[in-house]
Amino acid sequence: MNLLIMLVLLVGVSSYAATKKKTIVSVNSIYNSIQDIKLGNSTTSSQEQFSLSVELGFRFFRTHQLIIASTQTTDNLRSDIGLGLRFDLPGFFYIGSTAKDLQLQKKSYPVNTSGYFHTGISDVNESGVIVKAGYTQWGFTMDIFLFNKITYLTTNASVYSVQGNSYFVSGVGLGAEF
Amino acid sequence: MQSFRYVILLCVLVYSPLGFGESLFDQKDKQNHLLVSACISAGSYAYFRSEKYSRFSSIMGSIAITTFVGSLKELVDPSLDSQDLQADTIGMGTGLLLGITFDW
Repeated sequence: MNLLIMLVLLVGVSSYAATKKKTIVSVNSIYNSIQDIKLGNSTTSSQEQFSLSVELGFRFFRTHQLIIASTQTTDNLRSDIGLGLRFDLPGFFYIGSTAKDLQLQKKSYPVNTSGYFHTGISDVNESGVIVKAGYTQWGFTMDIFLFNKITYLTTNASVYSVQGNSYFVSGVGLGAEF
Repeated sequence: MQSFRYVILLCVLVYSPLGFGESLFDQKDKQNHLLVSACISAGSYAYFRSEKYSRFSSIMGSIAITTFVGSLKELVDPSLDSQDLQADTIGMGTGLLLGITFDW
């Protein structure tokens, strides 16, 4: 569903949030669906998991944010905390743009896309024993501003890797920047 | 119009907790969730209004911030509890109603 929304909105829109940025802090609350990525002819079935995650972002450059992310699965089997970067992509996935490009693209479309990466420590509950492991997560986010300049609906698609396994994560949530 | 708002506020404050019966708001933890969420949403609404944002923007911002804080609290807890989130939501509504009623 998230991918569908992303594809539908892919045509004809440009960055909104990245052009008007005077904000410092952003907060996001996201509900995620996690699916195991299978390679080759693996026949083992895996259950879909759900998780709740929050992200706190501090903008230190016009298009860059330092983010602190924390996630916990709804079955309480895994929780993470990590640190990373989020970078706005002016227009849809317009990589390599300059500040001048941002200024030229001051069409007020209420959509912003960004890429992000964070890494940290994951506490995995394996049969009652808590095992600590490193994790990485990277992906793309699309924020749709809900007729105002503070709050947005955020959707994301990302790849999450922990203990040698990779998962596809898609999520929807609510965010605000101020 | 103002008196109508006060009546609605009173109804929500009195009947919302009662509507959940003994299962939810008899617990001290849930009461705390409700109270803290109400304070956060009312406070953030007042903050956004003081920053000259529109009423709608302030409401939306307040909802996002209260949701964030409520979710963060659940992540800090050893296990996720959906009833805590319900209490947060009701508290958020109450706090917003306070802000709107008194026209902050």
